[in-house]
Amino acid sequence: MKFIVPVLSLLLTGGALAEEAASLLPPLPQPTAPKALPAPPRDTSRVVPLSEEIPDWQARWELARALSYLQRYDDSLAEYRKVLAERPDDVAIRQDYGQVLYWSGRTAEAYAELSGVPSQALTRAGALALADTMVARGEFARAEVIYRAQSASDETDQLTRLKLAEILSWTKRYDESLGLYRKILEARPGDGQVRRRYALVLLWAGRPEDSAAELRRTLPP
Amino acid sequence: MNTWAPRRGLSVRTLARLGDLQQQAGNYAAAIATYQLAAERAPREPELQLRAGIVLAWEGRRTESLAALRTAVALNPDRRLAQLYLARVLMWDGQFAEAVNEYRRVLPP
Repeated sequence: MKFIVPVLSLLLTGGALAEEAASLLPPLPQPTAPKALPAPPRDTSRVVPLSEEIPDWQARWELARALSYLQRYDDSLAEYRKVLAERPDDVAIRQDYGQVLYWSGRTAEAYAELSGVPSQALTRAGALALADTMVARGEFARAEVIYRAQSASDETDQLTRLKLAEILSWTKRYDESLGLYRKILEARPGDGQVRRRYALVLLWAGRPEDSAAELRRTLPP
Repeated sequence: MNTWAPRRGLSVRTLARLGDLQQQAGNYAAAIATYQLAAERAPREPELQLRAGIVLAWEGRRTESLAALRTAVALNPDRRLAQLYLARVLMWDGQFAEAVNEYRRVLPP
């Protein structure tokens, strides 16, 4: 009996003891109400700025181009040099620079710049500018290779075809040159300047009557 | 039918984001409409004018693009990207002298 009372007491108060013991443990997580989603940004918040940026070298390249289109070649070349100081290995900028050198009449510098660009990296415009500098240096055979390739890749480019026709006539390959002139005149029958050059090649080719007939077509009646 | 038509119930910020997504998907006409709707509601927000100006230029609507970009620059004269796009679009429009002035304004000498 002496032991029964405490045991009964323990059994009877078991809940309280259990509660007391449980309080020594960390509380169990309690279920809670679902949290609300975060509030959407208020309409007054600013529009997120575009993250795109244009680096200075890119903007300066565009400036250099704009100056070249205005035929302000010295200013343009000065800007190109600043860009190339920052990006010396950029072949696209380098051949642009070479073209502007050529437009500004600095043929030798243009040739040096453009011939330093790997041929596979040359754009059509860069390749044609290089060919023009070759013509200015009297390197007709090398220029002819470029004009032929570029003319074949764009049948509508009558200017390149004309340059090729001129080289052929200067190197006395009249028949081929005259054939190209005829193609150009088919595309541009009203071009009196081309017809006069055609007439000149006819004369060099020993066909003075044909030459005179073509020249008459370029004169008012 | 333009299934990307902007919704008038959206916030300006959300409209800007929608316009960005339309632009990224290549749906420039819808993006322009969305930016313009947002700009009607927030006419002094330069970022909307900038976005509209860029996409208008890509659509070949250069006169409208230049107007939007000029507004963007006027609203935030320190926003370099707006100044550079203004210079670019002037160049695309053949206004080379004006483009040069804008580039020079932004670039260090």
